[in-house]
Amino acid sequence: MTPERWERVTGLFDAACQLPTESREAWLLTTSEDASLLTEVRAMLVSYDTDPEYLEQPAGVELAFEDTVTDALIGRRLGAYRLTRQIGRGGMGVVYEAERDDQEFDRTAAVKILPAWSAGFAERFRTERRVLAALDHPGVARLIDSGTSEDGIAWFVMELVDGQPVTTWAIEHRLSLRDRVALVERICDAVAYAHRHLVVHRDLKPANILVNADGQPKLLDFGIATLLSEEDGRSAGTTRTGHQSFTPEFASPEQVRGERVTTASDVYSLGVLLYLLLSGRHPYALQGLSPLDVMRTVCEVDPPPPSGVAPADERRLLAGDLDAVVGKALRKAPDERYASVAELAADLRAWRSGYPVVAAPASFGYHARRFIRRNRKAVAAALALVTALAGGGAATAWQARIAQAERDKAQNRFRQVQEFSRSLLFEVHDALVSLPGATEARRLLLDRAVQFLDGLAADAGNDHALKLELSSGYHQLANVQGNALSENVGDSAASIVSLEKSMRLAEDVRAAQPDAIAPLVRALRTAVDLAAARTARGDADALAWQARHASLVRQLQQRDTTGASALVVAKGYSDIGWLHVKNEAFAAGEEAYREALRQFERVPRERRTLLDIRDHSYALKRLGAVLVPLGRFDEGERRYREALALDQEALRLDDRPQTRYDITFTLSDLALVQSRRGLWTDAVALWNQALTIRKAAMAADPRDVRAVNGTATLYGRLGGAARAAKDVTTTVARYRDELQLRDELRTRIDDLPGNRADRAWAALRLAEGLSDRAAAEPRNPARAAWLAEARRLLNGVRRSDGKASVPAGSEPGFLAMYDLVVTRLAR
Amino acid sequence: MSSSPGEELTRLLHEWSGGHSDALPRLMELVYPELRRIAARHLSRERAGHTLQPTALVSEAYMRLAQQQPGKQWNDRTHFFAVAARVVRAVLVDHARARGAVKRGDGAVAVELIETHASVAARPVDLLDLDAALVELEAMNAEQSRIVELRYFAGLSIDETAEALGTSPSTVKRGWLAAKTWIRRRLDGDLAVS
Repeated sequence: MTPERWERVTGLFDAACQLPTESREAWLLTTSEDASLLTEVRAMLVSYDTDPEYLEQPAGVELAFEDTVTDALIGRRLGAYRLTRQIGRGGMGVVYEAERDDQEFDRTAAVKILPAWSAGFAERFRTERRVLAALDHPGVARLIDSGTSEDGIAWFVMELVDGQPVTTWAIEHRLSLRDRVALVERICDAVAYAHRHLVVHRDLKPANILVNADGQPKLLDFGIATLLSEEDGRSAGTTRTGHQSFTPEFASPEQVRGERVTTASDVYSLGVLLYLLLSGRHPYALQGLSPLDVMRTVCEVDPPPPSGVAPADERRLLAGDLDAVVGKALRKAPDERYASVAELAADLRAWRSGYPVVAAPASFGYHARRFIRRNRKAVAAALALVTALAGGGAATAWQARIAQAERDKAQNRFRQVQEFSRSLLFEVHDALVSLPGATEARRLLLDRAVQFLDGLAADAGNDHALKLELSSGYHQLANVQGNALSENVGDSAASIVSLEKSMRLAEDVRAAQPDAIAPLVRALRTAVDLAAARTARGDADALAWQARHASLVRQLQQRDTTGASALVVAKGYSDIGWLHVKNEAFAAGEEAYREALRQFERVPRERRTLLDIRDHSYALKRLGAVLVPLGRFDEGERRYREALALDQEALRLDDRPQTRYDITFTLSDLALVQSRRGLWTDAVALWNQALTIRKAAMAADPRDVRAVNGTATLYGRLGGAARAAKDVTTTVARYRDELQLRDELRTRIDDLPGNRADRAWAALRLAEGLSDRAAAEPRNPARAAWLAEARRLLNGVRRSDGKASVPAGSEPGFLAMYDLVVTRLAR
Repeated sequence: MSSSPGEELTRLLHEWSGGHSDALPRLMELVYPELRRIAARHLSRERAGHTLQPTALVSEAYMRLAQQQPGKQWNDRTHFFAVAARVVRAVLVDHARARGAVKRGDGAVAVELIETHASVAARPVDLLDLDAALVELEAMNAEQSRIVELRYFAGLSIDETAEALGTSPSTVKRGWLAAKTWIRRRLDGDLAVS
């Protein structure tokens, strides 16, 4: 910014600051400054209002000079030890490395100088020393000696632990999840040992838990926090803290409130450590908060489950049991936590061995899942055996067909076996998808399927029928690989590899039988998914694949003089359009969709299967989705209504919950069209129709995560419609309904990946709705409660929450919304 | 004839306030050991939970240097504060840079592990970014850059800052609010680099 421009910004900003908030905008508009300047001033006003205390606290300078400070105590002798260098400093005193020269063993040690004196300290120091000296455990840094010097320095000599803080160690050694859990178990064992000797740590945190080169965790500073608490307590197990000798990030609610601290407080701190090691994040965002807000956060805010914040590849492993274990250790009320550290350790051990954990709610499904997990290898081996048998059987059958006479029979058997193995493969896989612990089994199953197909393909020779069958097999496998493991980038690569194999087989047959229809159909079915996968990955040849698919569809259209393949051609054009739209070529997309509709309409009704009807409905909706954003509402609405009629026809043919559920998407889309035209009454009626169906699905099967999620989405839409109608009461009610369902989803082990972002949106919208209502009803006695609720909601949302699993484009929208609500509530 | 540190400081302060900007590095060199000694003494007091305020540090350094020149009227207090603020800024930035280097050396993930999320309330200040923002602000308005230095790095009040800069408290207040708000936006990444 130029000095002149900045001068003008400063002047306006300063003048606007003098005005009451609500009159600033009006005044700014009277200044006749240029728009970009005013934008800058407005942004500054918002920034200032959001954080008026910014930079008001001068820089903390102490630590910066520390590095350069020489220490007066170096060289001093305490007991048998001479201090050689400072190795650490903190609220609990200064730690030195020290040497003794009169004996061979224990030559170097750590000496801790305690920082504070208080009433009763000397006496407590004597008592505590005896207790601490009795601790002898490989996981606890040994107390070697202690005393007070003539000039009043209280010191401890402790085993010098050459190690790294546990969190750093875990990262540098790239510990697996299981190894991290095992490490926390060992830490728990050491803490439990101390608890048996009636010593509470009270300040468990990574800096106090070092892991040495042998991988042995060592706890430092046992009992020292107790010693430093200024109250006159005696028994280490029950001392009250009057003084804050703890670390807020790891302190329990009772600790930050200054209440009675017990072994349950150590359970809590271990819970925080576990959370941190499992998810890579602290449960709370405390940095920068005032002491009061720290207290409020620690005492009132429930952190998200670790699975909600962990790196994507570990979420499924954390969801369920480990979330429950961490949750139980982190309960706000001490007596709701694990009764002892030993119990926490026992649950961690149970998790590692695949046994049920105490923390999880008991249910049949839960125990069954544990069974599969515990016997994972056996289950996987059984599946592998089945597929291997199928493959082996097929290969045998294959050899048998060398004898011409046996050929038809063998081929028939081969088909049966393959059909059987394939359905088994995909159905078992689908069943495994919903089991959180079954990732490994799924992977094994898929690996086995690849081997199975690869084996058959190697032997296929010139058998074109088999090759087409295999092409179809790879295609199905690719769909499973791509969908089920879509959270993993690596597996979308595997999916593409399978698609390429599928394509190669189909093209082989096409080259050998240039006039046959079947290989052409086979090739174009794979080509569309290959083009879509490459487009999604942003591959350079995506457009080439798209063109190749389109050319295959046109070849089929020309070849198909009888109209027998009209439905395949129709679906082909619908896919051509879809690929165009993915590449933002909307006009080309629209043209292809229209061709698809012409093809669909050529086919007599009685020839259509359920799938054809659904494809036709899709084509209509795809066309609608191109028209509506361009403002062509009339035709858009008509296309969605035609799709709705087809959906209802499908339902008449096949009245299953899934078919009924499919209609809700059309209803909801149509409602969106109507809302875009401002026809809110119509939109609300359609959304309510969809809501009835989704609520029924949810009631029929409460485990159906998709139904819960879909119902929540509709509540959100209805909330938005109420907001547009300025009906603050209904807005709040519907957003509250939405949030309730999304919160419920978060407790589920099979929560959908995008829910965290959706929940954050829901919370923001409800907070906004509440603040609307507070503004609309200034005299309502509940007003303060609404605002308090809104602030609480906001505190539960992080700016980063909008990032998870939503299209990249919507993220600024989230931040803008977040800042807007923050700003509104700050007033 | 060699002069005492106090005399040299006085001379340099006069030169600097008279427009000789090349006096500044030598001034900082003179002031730094004093600040460092005071910080060291403070640390050796072993008072847990007691942090050193820059105001106390800078004031004490001033008092000590003033005492080295008994009998002489020491009226360079305000210029001294400006130098001290510069020194504190430099030390803090060096420290932050060194710490950043250590963290990177240890494996950057360690930082992620202890990362806490941006909160609704006041956010921590990244000194390296602040330093860069101040350099930019200097080009837009040099006085405002001085104001931030004196307020944040020397802990001076609005009135003390006004005295140090020879201007009015209301000017300082205006400049302070605008500058710190601009810095906040700059550090939040809300502004395109101009």
